[in-house]
Amino acid sequence: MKFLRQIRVRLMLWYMATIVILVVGVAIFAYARLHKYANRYADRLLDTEAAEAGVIFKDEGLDELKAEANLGKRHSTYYTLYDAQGKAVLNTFREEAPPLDAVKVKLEAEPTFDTETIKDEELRIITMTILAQNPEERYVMRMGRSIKPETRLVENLTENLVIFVPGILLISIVVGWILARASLKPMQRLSHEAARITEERLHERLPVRGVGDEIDRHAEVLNKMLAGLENSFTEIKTFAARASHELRTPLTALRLQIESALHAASAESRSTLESALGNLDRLAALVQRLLFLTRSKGEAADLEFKTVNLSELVSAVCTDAALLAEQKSVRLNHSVTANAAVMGDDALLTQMVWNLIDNAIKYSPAGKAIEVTVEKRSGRAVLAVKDSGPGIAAEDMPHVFEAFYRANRSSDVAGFGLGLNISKWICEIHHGSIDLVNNPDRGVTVEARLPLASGN
Amino acid sequence: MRILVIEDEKDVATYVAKALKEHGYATDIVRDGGQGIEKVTSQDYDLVVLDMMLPHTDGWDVLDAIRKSGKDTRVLVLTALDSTNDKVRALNRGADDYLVKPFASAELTARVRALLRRSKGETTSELSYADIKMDLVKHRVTRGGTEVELTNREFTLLEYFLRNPEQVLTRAMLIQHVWGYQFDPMTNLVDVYINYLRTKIDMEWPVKVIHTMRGVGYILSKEAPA
Repeated sequence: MKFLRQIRVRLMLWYMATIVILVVGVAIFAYARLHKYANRYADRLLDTEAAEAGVIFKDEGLDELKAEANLGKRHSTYYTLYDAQGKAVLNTFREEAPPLDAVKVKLEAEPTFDTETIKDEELRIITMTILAQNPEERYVMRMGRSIKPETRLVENLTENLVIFVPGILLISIVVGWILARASLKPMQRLSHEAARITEERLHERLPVRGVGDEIDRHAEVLNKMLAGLENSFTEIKTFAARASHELRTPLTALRLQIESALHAASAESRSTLESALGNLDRLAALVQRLLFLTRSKGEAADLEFKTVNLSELVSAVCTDAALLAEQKSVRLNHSVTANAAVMGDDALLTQMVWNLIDNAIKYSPAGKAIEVTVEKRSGRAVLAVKDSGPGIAAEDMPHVFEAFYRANRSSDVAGFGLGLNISKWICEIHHGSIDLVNNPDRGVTVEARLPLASGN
Repeated sequence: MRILVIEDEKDVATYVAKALKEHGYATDIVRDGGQGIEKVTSQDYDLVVLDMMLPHTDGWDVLDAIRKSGKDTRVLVLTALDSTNDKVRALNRGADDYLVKPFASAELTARVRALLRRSKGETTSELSYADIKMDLVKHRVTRGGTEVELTNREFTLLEYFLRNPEQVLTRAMLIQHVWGYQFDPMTNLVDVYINYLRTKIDMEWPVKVIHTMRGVGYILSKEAPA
């Protein structure tokens, strides 16, 4: 069905349908006209011949008409002549002459026409009264003529149409397809060009050919949109830089001031100042994460991706995190396939892996285990972190990757609720995907999939 | 050792200078880039602490001017931008080190000391403090002549302490230098490792060398801090 949704295909079908209706219409019209014309021609011919026969009978008598009738047989013209008493005095038809009553001629009336098939021959038959030499005597003449020539004519046309109409249809499909393609080609080119302009290349514009057609108008509209987008992106970047400065400078001053005060502080104000420093660290960490998220993908595109051995990276983080897990009496098991290499930024990937494992440790109850695996699966390196925590309620599921969203798993767990959000962002700039599912038994599994580096 | 602080934010400049003076460095402050360039090129400073976001003449111009002057002045850049790109860009343009705001004064002074030491071209294959000895080549640690078995991470952690004795080391500094993480993992990772290190290097000895500075970080010192 997808095929039918293409404009190209629909255009072609419309074109075809139009041609079909036109051609079939013309064919039916031609057939009807020819058919009618052929019948009328046959009748007129019959009428003329009958009139001539009448004249022969009246002027030259029955014998002459008989001679004429015998001649007529050769071109499939047949005669019956009834005398005034209703007796057939002449019959050259290839069957017995029907009794006059069956002929039912209306005397003095206009000649009547009908069609009969006699011995496989389709005949047009005229019946009329004619005058004999003695003007008082009324004879009835029935004259039949084969309409084979006319039928042949119509049949011939039909045969031609049977070949001609499908031929036209075939041609119309081909022409329709070519036309639809040709008319959509500039559109296709435009969409191809537009697809090239990603977030990282927003400064580029679509070519306007200057023809002033619909395609050009489209390109102009899209270009205007791109300009707007580029502006917004630049604004976000500038905002991030300014916000960084504005937020971090006072934090710096505050930190240095508190530290300085700490040197000269009495024992009781010491602990206040120390806890102030702790809060300040938390605030600084929050600012750092927020700004990290504010940075556009455009900036991420400036990162130089290198080949990163994800297997080694995950193993290293696991080794570090194992001690943290131990503190909580949680086992951290890892099973990592060798040399799963991806293209990426080492620091960012470390952050992502760390976030995922750290989350699992935070939510794991004591005595349980966390399983970290790295596998190669259909061109991707798949990192899975499986915990045995409380899991995620169905209503929280759609929000787990949102900033500041902390599912009601445990209120006493430290953090801002940005870890998964940041991990998702990191995963996406590496052209990967991430999702979180509840395990059938207990806890959740977060799975991050990154494309393997080529040659892996 | 003379240090010039180029920073337009008064409070930051004052306290940076204060921290540096406390560590015995003669420190001057200028509040804009133009003056900064003039001072750096006309006088001899061993190190410049340079804020990148300055009004009028910004930090990049100052950095370029210093490098163009051909002086061997070390430059420690202070900035609010923390992406890897920003760091790489600053280092490529001639900065010697890079400190993201906000920072602890301990981190600032540690970086300054490291930069000034680097300019003297010090290299060593053995580190020591009190009765602790670390052989960097053989990867061995002894305390009072007794060998202490350390994991790689513990070794790097102790090495960082030994390279910065009697200085406060913040968790952020340790995370960055020992683990190489470019982000704050917001966990007690550092504390956990310090505890492991302590059980190996301090527990059985009467004199403790690794001390906690609450709210700030840790310090390697023979005497417990006040």
